[in-house]
Amino acid sequence: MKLSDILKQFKNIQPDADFSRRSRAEILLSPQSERRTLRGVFAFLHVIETGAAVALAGFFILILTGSFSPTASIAPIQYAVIDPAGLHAEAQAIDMQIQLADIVYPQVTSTATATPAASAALTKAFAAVLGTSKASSSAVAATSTAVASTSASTAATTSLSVDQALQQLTQ
Amino acid sequence: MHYPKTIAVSAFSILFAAGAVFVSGFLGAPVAHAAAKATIADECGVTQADVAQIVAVQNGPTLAYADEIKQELVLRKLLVGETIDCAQREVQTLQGSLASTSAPGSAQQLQSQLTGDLNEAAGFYNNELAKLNVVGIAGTKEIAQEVLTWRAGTFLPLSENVNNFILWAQNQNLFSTAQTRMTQTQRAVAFIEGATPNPALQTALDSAQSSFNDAQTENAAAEAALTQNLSPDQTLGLIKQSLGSLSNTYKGFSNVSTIVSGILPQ
Repeated sequence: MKLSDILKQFKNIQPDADFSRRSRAEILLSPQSERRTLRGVFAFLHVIETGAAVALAGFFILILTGSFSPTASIAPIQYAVIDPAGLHAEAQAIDMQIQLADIVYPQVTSTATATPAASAALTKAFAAVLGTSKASSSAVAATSTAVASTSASTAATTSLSVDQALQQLTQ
Repeated sequence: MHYPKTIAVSAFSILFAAGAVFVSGFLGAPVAHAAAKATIADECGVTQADVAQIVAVQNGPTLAYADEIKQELVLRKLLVGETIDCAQREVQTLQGSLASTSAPGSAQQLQSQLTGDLNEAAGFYNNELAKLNVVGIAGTKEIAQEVLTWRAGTFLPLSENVNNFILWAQNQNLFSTAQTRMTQTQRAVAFIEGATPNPALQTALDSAQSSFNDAQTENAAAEAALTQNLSPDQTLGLIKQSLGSLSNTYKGFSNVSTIVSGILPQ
């Protein structure tokens, strides 16, 4: 047999069927974690890359729209120093506080004009008190008339301060 | 003895509330509600005509003497009671305002002390109201006199001190803001001076710094006056001085701003 014929017969060499089955099973069952890890790393880097691109795009959009001034944050001169609007607002707040300090302390119930409802309520209370006595019914009428006549006067319907009322009630 | 009341807002309250809203708007200080609350004056509803009812009863031609006495007593108790109720509402307003005032740590002890004093004032009025139940006509007059005297000697100075304290506490936000601005201005001026010395700029900054030092000194003196319970007028004077100096500080800042604007490229 010629050598060439022998070599041609090599094409027909087949592995043992049982060996083939075992080898295939071992290959398929072998762990492929290394390949998966690498795929995860690449996926993570891709996410980072996408995120960075979006952030950079947003940064440039802010600059283009004027919403963010990098010079204000980076420059050594704080731009608040030459911010007339802010200065004016703070100075106005102080001026307002000065006006408050200049005003005399508030006097509770000083010279507020009594409302008709408040006066009527007190008159009604007085009438109820005085009306408990039958003999005083005429007096109630008299006092009610007195109240009606005096209510026409501005002075009479002006609420007294606590101290004014107390002063009058000591007499 | 509570009667329908109306809320009277004085010119002071309008300005005070507007000022508080203004300040809180720019400085974030939660004082607007407290300040507005501090200055709403309750109207007692006791008028000259109400007091005249006593005279009307005394001169009532148809009343027997015994009835006159009984009715005058009832009227006097009603009016003195209503007046003391009004005074109590005054205390409650101050208590609410003081409680909602945000004070720095160093002043919190003083705030607690003032709160305690107001509680004592409320207790005093409660005692006087209780006494009113068991007195005659002369007794109601004595109670009115007692309350009047106590108010002049104790309560009015206390209420002025409380108002001063609230005003002073509100000012601390203004001082804090001014301190921040001073620091920024000093850095900016130092930077510019390093590059191109400018005597006018340094002079303007020195002026602002001098005014701010004065303001801080007067502010500290006002706090000391409050703590040492000096006269309310004296304390208020120091508070006004500190605000005046703070205002001058901002005039200095404005000068610095103008000069810096001229130096920096447009």
